[in-house]
Amino acid sequence: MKVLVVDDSRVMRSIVTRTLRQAGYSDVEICQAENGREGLEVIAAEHPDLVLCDWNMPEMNGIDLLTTLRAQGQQVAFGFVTSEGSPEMRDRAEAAGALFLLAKPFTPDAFREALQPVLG
Amino acid sequence: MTIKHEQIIEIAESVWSSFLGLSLHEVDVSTSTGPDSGHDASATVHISGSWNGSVILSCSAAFARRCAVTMFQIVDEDLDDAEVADAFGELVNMIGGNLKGLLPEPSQLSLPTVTQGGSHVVTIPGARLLDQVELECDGDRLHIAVWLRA
Repeated sequence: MKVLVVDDSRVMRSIVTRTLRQAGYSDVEICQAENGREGLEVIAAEHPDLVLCDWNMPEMNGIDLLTTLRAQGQQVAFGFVTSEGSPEMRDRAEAAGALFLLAKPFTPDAFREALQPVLG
Repeated sequence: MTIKHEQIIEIAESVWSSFLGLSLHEVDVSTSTGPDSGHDASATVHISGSWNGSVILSCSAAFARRCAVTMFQIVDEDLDDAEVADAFGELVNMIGGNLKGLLPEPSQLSLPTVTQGGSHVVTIPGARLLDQVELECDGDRLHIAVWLRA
């Protein structure tokens, strides 16, 4: 299994990766991107099984990345990991095709619960 | 709808506990160096829309560095200023994002801005200080200010 972590913060990409390991996904291959635009390129090249994506990023934000992917017919499993978890954003995420929205700060248990349907 | 003092503290405690494994506790804000005095590190996010204001996180350079070391899980010698800025910016992003969730929608959260060095003061022209908290962490101090733009 391969997971793409999209976040403009290097420390957050590191924390997300660490939390994935702590949640029990120690053998998952991780690839990274710094924003939505780079995420599009990495998805095309690496074909991840799951995208864990921040919402608020420069260049291209997370919701625009998801909308672009779905407009292209790309149905990769997609979840948000973001500091903002308002009802409005959760509705937008779900309507755009996201499987979940994990709010920061998160725990390994929250990761496990959200990712289990996708990664097993 | 507004932000309650206790909510600022709860969010900060949750962030520090979850991502740094550190406990914060509130101290008397009158003992703070306060928003009018200089800090060595500050990080700011702005919220704009149905509610307009800013959240500013301030502390010593040493505490910002300590937080970054813990978040990156690397030794201090391997940490550069860009990494401190990245980590400190992410901390204010989480606090601002969680506070935004308590406020009327719709609104937008800006990307964080981080300033380091020089005992600086951050001001938000045209805004007033809505609330501030002073937190202590093993001898280090953290100041959080919430500004409301008219």
